Amino acid sequence: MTAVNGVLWGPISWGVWNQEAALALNNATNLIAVGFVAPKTGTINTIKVRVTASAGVPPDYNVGITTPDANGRPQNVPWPGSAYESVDLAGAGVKTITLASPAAVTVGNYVHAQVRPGGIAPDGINNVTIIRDLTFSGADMPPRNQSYAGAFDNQGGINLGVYYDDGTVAVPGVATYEATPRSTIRQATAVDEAGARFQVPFSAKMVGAALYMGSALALSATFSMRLYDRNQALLEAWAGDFRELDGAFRFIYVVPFTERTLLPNTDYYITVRATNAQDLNLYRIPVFGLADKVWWPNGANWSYVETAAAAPFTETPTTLPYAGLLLSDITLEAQPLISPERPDWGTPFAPELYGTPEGKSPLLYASFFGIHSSEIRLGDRRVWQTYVRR
Amino acid sequence: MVSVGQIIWGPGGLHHVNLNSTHDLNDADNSDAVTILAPKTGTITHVRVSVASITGDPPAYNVGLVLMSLGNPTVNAYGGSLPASYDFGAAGVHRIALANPAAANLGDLFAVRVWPGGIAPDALNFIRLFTGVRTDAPHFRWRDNSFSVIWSYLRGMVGPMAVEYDDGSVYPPIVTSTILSQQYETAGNPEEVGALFSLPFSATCIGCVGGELNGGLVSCDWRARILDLANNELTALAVNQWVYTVVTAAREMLTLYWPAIDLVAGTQYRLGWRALTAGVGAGNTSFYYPVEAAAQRAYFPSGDLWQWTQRNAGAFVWVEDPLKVPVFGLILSELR
Repeated sequence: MTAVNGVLWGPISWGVWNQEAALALNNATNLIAVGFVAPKTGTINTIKVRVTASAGVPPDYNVGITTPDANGRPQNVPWPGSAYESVDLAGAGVKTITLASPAAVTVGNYVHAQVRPGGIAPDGINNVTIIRDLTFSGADMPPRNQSYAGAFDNQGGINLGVYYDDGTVAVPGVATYEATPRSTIRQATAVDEAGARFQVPFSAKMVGAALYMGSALALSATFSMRLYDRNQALLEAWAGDFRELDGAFRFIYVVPFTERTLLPNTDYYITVRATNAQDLNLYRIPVFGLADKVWWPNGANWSYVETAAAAPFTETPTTLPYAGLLLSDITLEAQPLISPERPDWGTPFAPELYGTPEGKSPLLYASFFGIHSSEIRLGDRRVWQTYVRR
Repeated sequence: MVSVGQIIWGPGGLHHVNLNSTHDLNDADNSDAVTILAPKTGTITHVRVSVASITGDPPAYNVGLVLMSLGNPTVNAYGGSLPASYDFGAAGVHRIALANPAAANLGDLFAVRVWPGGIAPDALNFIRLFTGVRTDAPHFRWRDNSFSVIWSYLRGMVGPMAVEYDDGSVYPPIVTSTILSQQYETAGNPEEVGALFSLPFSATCIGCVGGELNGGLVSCDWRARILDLANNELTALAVNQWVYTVVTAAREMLTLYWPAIDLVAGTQYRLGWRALTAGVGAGNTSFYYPVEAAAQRAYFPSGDLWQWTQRNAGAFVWVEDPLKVPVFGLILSELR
């Protein structure tokens, strides 16, 4: 077991949204760009553009990867070896553009993805409006919006989705344009509880939980922050009251929970439940696709859920909740020895009876069964799993 | 091996710091408090208060743990405690025994508060308290409450006041200065700043993050890198100064990727950001959290394994400061 004091784990540990805005590309110079440091060496061949409005008959726009100018701003120069795609972006929605001449980048390169006017300039009648920036709160972390509308707007945040040819994400795309990405949560309504389904990829001790609740909540709202197991049985709860906590600002609430060991690769839920008839908000990020979630810290293991009246959670896999855990210990050596994919197994043991005995290698136990892995998979499906009672 | 996508590991995972400030308790009602959610069940015997300065001969203040009401600190004692009457004779961090300890329960909401005693301070005789170091993505681990005419609030990670349990643990860490940043310059003193760190597990590192102040100096190109203790550069990224300057915010968190490198558990490395030549006087500025005691670094994400380091130009003579938590982190993709 490895002590990791005070580690905030999960999507919430990488910035939060502060604002978002869109920009009409309605003249010869307005452009949308995102500047970023290439996270790996490879070929960038896909850009996704979220068009929020379309007017008249927009001309085609140029979409591509470009080089920065001497001041680090986007310029009209395609990345060496790549070329713009001329694209019809008419109509609202997410447009996926595959570059016929993609950009080969090296890890650490600072590059831009751009959408800019093509040969025929758009105008006030014929144009598209594109999401310009979803800005990180305070922290100007690349990727960085560097769009132009008479002047460059430089802010930490994202706007375009940018992807390598192996499908991995360089800059994630966010799918829904909302004033603030959130869910309204209120007692006796369609949603009285919302949060995250999550897994941790190792055994860990959880000592607290974090949720990002927005400024639009009612200042007299009361709530319960809750941890459930995979069967939606309540494990922990902490009662909060915004009359005491001050909800006037966007806020990450980190609350202490009784120390609890989380099992690896096992579903849990962390939620906030409204406990009176006042509105709560929980920030969330609807992304273009599952690949986009991977950009956020351990984001692949987190999905937004909601429910009402304690009904089973409804999950939106392509929406990332702004949630996280406070961890105190991580155990990497113990790989999963439970079978959450075998519901027919029922629950013969309490959760704390699952897992590898303290200090024992899971492979040792797997070897007892004549194999040298703790699990066997067929494609994505785990078909055999060692299971040890301690 | 555990694939984690990409995570930010280290104190930099808390985002960058915001400004620290001060508040004068110089009349009959000015007061300061820090709201806390009790991190564990136990007995609180002491509080700690960080005093920035003393003016004149201040009277004794009340120092205690109090209940909240409608979001504001009261003077009603929490957990069976009794406040102390305390004479702050000098600047610095004061460890003050409660007149009666408090029985705290995990998750309880209460406040550490300093307020005037029987004799009111005045404009000639008062204490000046720090109001803490905030993050711009605030976390509700503590909240500083300052009362002048009304209560106002700041939120953050490093507090001006803390509680001490009977096992000696202190929560949250104590801020000791309004100076939160260090320039590093091509002129050379220091030329390179960063973190001396180790990981509790082996991991693949694909980049780093760092909190930077935009303003003051003319920014320069720099080199972000990891060095071993023999000062061998293990991975690096040359960064153009405009990565620093194209943003408009005064304080930024920069995210950089470099060629992946495997780091070994328990091995010490240095994460260095080194100023490169871009004109005399050019330089950048990095942030740290100043804390009262080295043990309080443990409050930050894996902070017990991170401390500030810097060196001047020329030979590799590094100087560590265990009382500064560097606002740096690593981007990790796999843990082993």
